[in-house]
This record gives sequence, structure tokens and C-alpha cells, in this order.
Amino acid sequence: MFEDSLLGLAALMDPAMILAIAVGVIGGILIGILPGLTSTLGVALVIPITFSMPPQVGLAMLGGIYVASTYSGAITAVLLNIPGTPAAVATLLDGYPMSQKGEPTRALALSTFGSAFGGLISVLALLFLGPILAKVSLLFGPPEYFLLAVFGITVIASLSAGAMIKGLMAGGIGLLLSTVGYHPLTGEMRFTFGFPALFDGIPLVAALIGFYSIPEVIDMIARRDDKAPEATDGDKANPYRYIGEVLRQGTNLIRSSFIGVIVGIIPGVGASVGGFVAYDTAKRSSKTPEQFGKGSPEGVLACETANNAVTGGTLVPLLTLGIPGNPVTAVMLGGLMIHGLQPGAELFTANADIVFGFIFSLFISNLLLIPIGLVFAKYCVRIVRVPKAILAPIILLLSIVGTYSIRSSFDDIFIMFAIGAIGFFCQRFLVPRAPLVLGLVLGRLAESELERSLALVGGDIGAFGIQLITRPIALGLLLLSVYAVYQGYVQHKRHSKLLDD
Amino acid sequence: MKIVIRNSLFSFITFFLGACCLAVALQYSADSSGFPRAVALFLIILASADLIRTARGRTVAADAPEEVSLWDDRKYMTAALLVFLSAPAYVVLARLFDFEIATFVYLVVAMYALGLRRPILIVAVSIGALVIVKGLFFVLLDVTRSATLIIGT
Repeated sequence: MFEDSLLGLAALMDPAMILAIAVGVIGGILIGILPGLTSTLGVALVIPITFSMPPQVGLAMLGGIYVASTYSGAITAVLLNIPGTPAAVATLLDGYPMSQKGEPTRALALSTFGSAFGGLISVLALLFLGPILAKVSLLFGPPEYFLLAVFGITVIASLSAGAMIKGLMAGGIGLLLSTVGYHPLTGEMRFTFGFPALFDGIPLVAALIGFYSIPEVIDMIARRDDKAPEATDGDKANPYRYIGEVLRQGTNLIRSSFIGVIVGIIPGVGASVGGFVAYDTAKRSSKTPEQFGKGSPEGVLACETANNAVTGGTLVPLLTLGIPGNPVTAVMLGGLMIHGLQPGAELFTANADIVFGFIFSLFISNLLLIPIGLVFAKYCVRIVRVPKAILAPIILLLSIVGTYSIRSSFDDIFIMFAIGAIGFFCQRFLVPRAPLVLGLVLGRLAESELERSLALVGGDIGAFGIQLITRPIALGLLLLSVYAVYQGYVQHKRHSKLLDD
Repeated sequence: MKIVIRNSLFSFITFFLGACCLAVALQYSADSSGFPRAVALFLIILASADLIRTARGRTVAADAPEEVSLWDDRKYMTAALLVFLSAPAYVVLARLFDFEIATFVYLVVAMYALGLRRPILIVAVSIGALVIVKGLFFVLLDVTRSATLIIGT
């Protein structure tokens, strides 16, 4: 393996590789900033361009796009309270409040360093633990997947501290929204009312755009005469000065990276869930949990580290087993096959130079995120000073065109506005929005895996319950979920008591 | 609006939503609607519990303000009305005429309506935004454009 690694490392000496990575990173950042454009779309659009390139160079560019677009959703999340990509939803919770406190540069610097660190750790995991971790992921059956979704949903309890019942209700509404469309096993249509655009369910990206951008645009218009928050004296400084602050949070960084890698390895879960779980864990472990949701640097660092650590994690089952864990890696599987590569154990022997070259190129992509990302961040920070009379119509325009671009469908725009109306009501009723998103994201996974688990035991709920406590991984996840709910309840009580005092 | 009334209103809407979804879900086969039925029931129970708590006067979150502006905040309602009316108007314009015409008209009207009174800036920003959006989405990313009803491209 050592010799193979050296071959991959040697491939990086080719200037074309470095150029491809840099172009991929810049393109990925642009894609992540624009609402509606996701990593999947970015990778899919670039695959035809890579046809004519040598496999290593083409794959390096695809990897750069994947890594950078996952990161750059945080830029709009921090500055505008609108996640550029679904991966950045958890970043809103503390990134935007930091920006409102006059610390946008600090928030973006933490996001950038955290993303790069998480990405680097995930590449190391891919390099050294890939084959072992891939085997562990194969032990997950429907009951484990169901409990994994349940564990993700339990994060709601923590995200709603101070308004737990409203958070649970919002989570329930999100779960209900996730059931719109065909049933995963029987194919029966539910809650579509004959509207074809809903047959596949509520399009997640359109929903996220509507849920966050519409209320934000309304807020901008309503407060268009308010002055933009002034940057604090400290925030005007060089973003590189925040490296020290990032490194002081070593435990948070490593824990969040670990969470991101694990979530990434498990197919079908995704970067947004990784961000939420890491955020929740950071909050539970923090000495200042009351700062979470009000602009906590720990919160920003946790979710950004985790969502980029997911990238390397998702590549573990793809490269070692040929199983794409999310839509981006499914598209990347196509990219690998177009270049004549068949993922699986043989990939690491027959095409070792290419696969190790690809892994090392991901390492470089994550390193390049820092200088390139910070340059983008430096200029993007100026967005907050643009008059709201200009910014609001442009954001609305980008939201409409971005939503349209997903499926070239005008119907999606109306879905986006309908979800936007729900988001607006949540904002006005002071209902936490993150639980609703979490319900929407995880609901389909929870339902389909629950149905599959029940089908495996002939619909016998008792037998299903026994499965949950006799399968070691399922039992572990069950205990984790119970603990998460208990912790959420304790936090909620502590939060209420603190404010009562 | 009193915070208690606002919380009750949200619980009531949630209860109503849960009840409607349960009623609709019951019309589907049991095999296909077990999950939504369970979630709807969960919402009904949660909302009922919250309404009962409210009736007992134990609902207000400790960090909630005494009163919040909701429907009574005219600025927010006007802004919401503007967004929810202007955006469908833009979509209709785009379907009738063309993306370029609709975008330009929409941006100019929106900026003027929001109080910007510098014509050169308005036109420059509108053209700039139009070029960037068109370049990124329709040229670089080759997003398919629908045929329009009047211009027909």
C-alpha cells in the first residue's frame, strides 16, 4: 500500500492536477453560494468536461467541486441566514447570529478552518480506515437505519431548548411534510392531491430555499431602513488570526470530524444530518451551552467541521464497495465508470495510482479551501453592507431562478413559496425552524426503513421490538437516542430555570 | 399580541393540521399510511397537551417576551404581501414574455417600490444582475428554459 500511496503522491507533481483542483475548488465555492445549486448538480455538470482529461486530473476536479461546494453553503448561511446548500442548515443557527453581532469575518474564518480540518481528517480516514469502515457500514440493516434516523430526529429535543414543545411540534410538521409523495414500498400516492410536482415528494432543495430565503427577504424588506451591523474592531482584522481560536477547540474539531466521517460512511444520511448531530454534541459538551443559538463560535465550528468531514466519509463505501451513499457520490460513481474505473476492492490494487492520486487530491482540495475560501469570504462580507432595497429583490430573484434550475419546473417555484409561507409563520410565531427541517430531511429515511424492518418480520411489531434490542448496533443506537432525549429534556429544564432565576 | 394567545394559536393550527392530515391519511390503505397516521396522532396529542397547559397558565417559555408583534406589525405584513404577490407576478411575466424582460422589469419595479430613487443605479444593478444570473444559470449551467406564451422561445 505504501508504494501505491507514493504513486498517488507523485501524481500531484503534475501541474495540471493542481490547476484542476484549484478550478474545482473555485467552481465549487461558486456553486455552493448560489441557492438551488448543490454539490450533486455541480459534479454532474462537470463530468462531461472531464471526459477529455486524464482520469486523475478529471477526478481531482470533481473532488475539488464536491469539497468546496459542501463548504461554501456556509457563506450565505452566515451572511444572509440562507443556506447555500442543505449541508449548511445547521450553520445558520450560530453563524448568522455571529454575523449580526458584527463578527461575520470571524464566523466565516471559523467555518473555513473547520471545513478544511474536517475535510482533511475525513481524507485520512478514507486513506487508512476506508476498507475496515466500509465493512462496518455493511452491518447496518433496516432496523439500524431506522434507529439512525430516530437518533437524528432526537436532536430536535436539543435544538428546541427553551421551546421544547413547539420544537417537537415543528419536527412533527416536518415529518408530515416528508410523507408527501409516493409510499416507499407500496408506491401509493399520499397528500399529493393530484399535483404531479409532488409525486416524488417535496423537493428538498426548493423547500430549504423557500423556508429560509422567503422569511429572510420579508425581514429585509420590513427592516430595510435599519443600519447594517457594524463590524466589531476585532472582526476587521485578518481572518488568519482566528487559527489560534480554532486550534484551541481541538476536542470539538476532532469530535465533530469523527461524527462527520461516521455519518458520511453510512449511506443515505447526508451532510446536513452530520452538521446537526455535531452541533448537538458540541452543545451538550460545552461549558457555555446557553450561548448556542446566539452566535456561539463552538456551534459554527462543530457543524462546519462535521459537514465537510462527511465528504471523505461518503467516499469510503463508494471507493471500497462501489456503494454510493448520497446523490453526489452516485454521480461520482458515474464519473469513475466513465473513466474506466470500477469501484471495489480491486480499485485499490489495479488502479492504485489513480485512486490514491484522487485521495491525495482531496487532501490538497481541503488545504486550498483555506486561502481560496477566505478570499471569497473577504469579498462576500461586503454583501451585508449592500442596501436592502437592492439585496432583497436580487435574493428573491436568485431563489426563484435557483429553484427553477433544479428541475426546470415552474411548479417547484410555487412549492418553494408555499414552504416559504410556512417559514414566515414559524418566524413570526417564534417557532424554531431547524426541527422542521430535520423532520423533513430524515422523515423519508425513517419511514422507509421502518416499513422495511416491519416487512422483514412480517409486520409483527413485537418481533420488530425484539430485533431492536437484540442487534448490537441497533441497541447502541436505541440507547443513544434515549440518552439524547433525556439530555435534551435536562437542558430544556436547566435553560428554563436559568431564565426564571 | 399576547404571547399566550400566540402560543395557543400555533398549538391550535398544529392540532388542526394534525387532524386534517389524519383524516386524509385514513383514506389511504393502512399499508401506505401507518407512518403519517402515527405522526398526525402525535401532533394532535402534543398540541392538545399544549393547549391544556395554556389553559392552566403554564405555557409561557421563560425567555419569551410578554408581548410580540404578529399580525399587528404592519411593516412585516406589508413586506410579506409584497413578496408573496411580486414573485408570482414575476413568474407570470416570465411565462408570458421572456426571462430577460421579466427579470429586468421585476428588478426595476421592486427596487423602486422599496424606496430606491436613483434611476441610473437601479438600471445598472438590474442589467448587472440579469447578465450574471443569465450567464450562470442559462449559459454556463445550461438550465433548460420553458417556452414562453407570447414570445414563444
